Amino acid sequence: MIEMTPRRRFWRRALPAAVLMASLPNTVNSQLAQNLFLDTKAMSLGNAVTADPTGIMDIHFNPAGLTKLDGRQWQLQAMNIYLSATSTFSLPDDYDADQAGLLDISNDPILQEGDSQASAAAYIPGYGIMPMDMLPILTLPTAGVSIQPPGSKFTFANAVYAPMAAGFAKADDDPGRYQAKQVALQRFTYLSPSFGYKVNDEFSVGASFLFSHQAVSVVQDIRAPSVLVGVGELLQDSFGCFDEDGNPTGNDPLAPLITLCGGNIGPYDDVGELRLTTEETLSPSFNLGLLWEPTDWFAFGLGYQSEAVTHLKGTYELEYTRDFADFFRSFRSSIVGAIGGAIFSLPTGQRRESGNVSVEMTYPQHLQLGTKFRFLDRYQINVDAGWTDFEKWDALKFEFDRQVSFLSTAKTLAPELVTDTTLSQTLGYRSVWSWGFGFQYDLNSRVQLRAGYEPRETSIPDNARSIQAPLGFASLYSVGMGYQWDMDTVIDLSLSFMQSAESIKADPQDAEQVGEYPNSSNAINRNCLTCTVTNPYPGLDVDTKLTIGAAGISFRTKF
Amino acid sequence: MLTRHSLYALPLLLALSPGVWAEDDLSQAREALSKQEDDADTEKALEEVFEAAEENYSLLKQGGVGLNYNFDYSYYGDQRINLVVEPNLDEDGEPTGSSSIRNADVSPAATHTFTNSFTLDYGLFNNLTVSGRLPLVAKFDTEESLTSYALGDLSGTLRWQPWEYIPGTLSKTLFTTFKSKTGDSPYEIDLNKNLSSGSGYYSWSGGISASKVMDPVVLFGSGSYGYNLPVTDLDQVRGSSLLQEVHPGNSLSLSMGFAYSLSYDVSLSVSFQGSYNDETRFRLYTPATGRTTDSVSGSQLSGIMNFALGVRVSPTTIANVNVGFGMTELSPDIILGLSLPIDIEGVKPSAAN
Repeated sequence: MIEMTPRRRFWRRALPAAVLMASLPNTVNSQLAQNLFLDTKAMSLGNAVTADPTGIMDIHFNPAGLTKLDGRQWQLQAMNIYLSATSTFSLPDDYDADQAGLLDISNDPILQEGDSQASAAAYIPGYGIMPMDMLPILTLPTAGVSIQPPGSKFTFANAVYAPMAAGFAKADDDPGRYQAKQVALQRFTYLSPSFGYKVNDEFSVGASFLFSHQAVSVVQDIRAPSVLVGVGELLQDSFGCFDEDGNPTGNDPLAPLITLCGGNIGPYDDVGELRLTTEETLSPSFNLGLLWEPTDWFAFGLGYQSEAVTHLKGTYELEYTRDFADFFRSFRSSIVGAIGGAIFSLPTGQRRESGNVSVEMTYPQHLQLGTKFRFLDRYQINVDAGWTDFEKWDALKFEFDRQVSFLSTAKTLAPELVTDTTLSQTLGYRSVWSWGFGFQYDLNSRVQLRAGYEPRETSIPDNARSIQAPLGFASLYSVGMGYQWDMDTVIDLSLSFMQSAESIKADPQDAEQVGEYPNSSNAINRNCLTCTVTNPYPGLDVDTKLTIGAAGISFRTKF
Repeated sequence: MLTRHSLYALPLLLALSPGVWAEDDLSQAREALSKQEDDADTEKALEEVFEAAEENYSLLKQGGVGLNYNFDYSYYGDQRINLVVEPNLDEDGEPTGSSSIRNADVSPAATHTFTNSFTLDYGLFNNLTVSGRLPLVAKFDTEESLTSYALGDLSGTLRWQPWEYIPGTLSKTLFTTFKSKTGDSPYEIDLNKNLSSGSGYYSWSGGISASKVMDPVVLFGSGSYGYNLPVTDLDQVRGSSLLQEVHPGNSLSLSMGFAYSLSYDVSLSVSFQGSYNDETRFRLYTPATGRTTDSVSGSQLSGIMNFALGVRVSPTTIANVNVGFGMTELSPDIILGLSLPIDIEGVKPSAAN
């Protein structure tokens, strides 16, 4: 017993912190959300359309392009998306269980559970995250209308669309449930009054005023695969707290001094489930654009989407497992537990904690410059470069309306990130430039054939990769066509394909220094005491693959 | 001004303390009450009256569609005293007859509210019009440096004219409004970090409006009763307590006024709108003591005066500009508004050809 004391003290301090922080949501996706599925023509041209107006969705790309829409027009579009996100967890090849120590990675039950499969999901206000797995294909509709009064230099337009939509849902027993069992990051623009103004034959400008709904929501299971909890399990085993079936034996040899047999805990046991839902029902922003067409063969366009500082507010709910709650309730009824618990604000053993939470998030500004070249009468090449200010996603600060026992405990481990009522989630995203290329061939006066390539740079640095945002560098390939049905009607078709694969390797088993191995990530598989906070899969190799296929059709006509 | 507020705060406190205050009860009550006299309540009540009075006098022909845009600004500034008076007790715990002031805080408030709303009317029959309203609210608290953009409470109204209108007689319209709670509820937000944009409860109201033309003057008036549904399952931090239930009082509203036609292009109107709100009951739970307490904020009367100028900006469009002020302490100090019909008939091809 004397031998165990220092270990126990250490464990008593840090275990809950480790447990708790394992759950912290890192809620975010990057380029995934940007400029995808917005417009059929844009998708088929690698989103290089800033200098090549697309139709009513120029509200988003470049409002100056709206001047090309004469009379009164409406547009309906359906983007049919197939999405598959899989993650594979495996034991590093050179792993040696004999060297494992107190946390044996090879015991992780996740290894027996197969691959993680996520389907697309959407956030429905009032309901929460809705998994879209009823059909293999998710259809995203978009609608808009434009009006150019006869003889006017103005064109007015309005559309309903989702400039940012990223949502995933997994099954309740999916091995990926410890990182975003369900997650949605969604911006839905429900009102977008816009105008384009034709200054002269060569030059147009435009602006859009956007009224959007912004949601950030996460549901995930919590576990604390920490060496500290490993110690806890070891002690429970040596005390004989539970029999082979996991039923309590009634043993608790050190009671009432200290009780450790209240509930069965272990590094790979669930701690509970976290549900966090925040939204802002009105988030205003604006777009600006200009279009310069000095000659027939060249055009230049600029589109700017402003940032929007959203004050998201909502609720959080933590539901602990019975074992976890019982363990702490019993522990805190012992002499050591009562004193230590008060000093370190350990959980009191309640089954459920809930309340309100606020978080400020910036929808990043985006600038895109585009050019259009026509040559040999029938050929056209578009080249765009876009920049998104994801540096604003350096950290997310969650502010809770009451003291969360969770956080009070975690404070001990990470005082720079956590206070009794706030929690900072480091993201460390970076702003990147990304290119887009489009090619078009006019088959005849009715049919235009298109192809696009967009090498999408990722804003997520290597050490922040996770299965929550399984998107690294991704290449988007697409083909499509435009068809002039009659004088007033245009139909656009597109087929696109995108894939991103990441291999996040675990640190070597004998790693001593945290962070010196560039192949692992601080947000999924780092294995160290304080890393438990954001790494629910320590020591495992994680391979992620995101595949997206989309078929779009849009129909625009006059009325 | 301060005196008036201390007078207002006192009954609130006394209502909560029929007997002698124990020390901890006192501080609990103090914390709970400090955020309770929610200006949102009265503002919302007023807004309801305001909206109800605005549109109740005209119906659309069957199949007719009208879209209206309203911009409203209101400013609410206040200095509040939060006063807690505790009776002194002798050794046996009996009051000695004298009292001590335990707490005297002055908390200033300055809220700017900008509401953009769109109202869509549709004539179901010649004597029955249905309408829906979508408010978009931007709110700034310059004392606390808080900003909030949010959807307001969506609402729907039915207006019915059961008796055919005979020119020269009184025109009577029955109306009923259902208001949802899509806005950010004052009972569900974190009060230190966010501002509310809605009332926080569903409400239903119904009433009658009447108008009479006495050229060049139109007299109008309306009366309505509002039933506010209680909200339960709340979990909001109020000091050391948690707010669990709110039982808003019902309301009675009255408006009256006249419009005077100055010329074919310009008209002027003056109106008064008043509303009486019955007392609101709050249920608070204190985790530290495990006790549930009920507290009541008293009934309130609020009134606003409004002056509006209607100007014909095109042969088919009349824009209304209005200026108003609150007549009681709890109503907004300044109200500015602009109302503009949006011509959606023009979208039809026939209009353009």
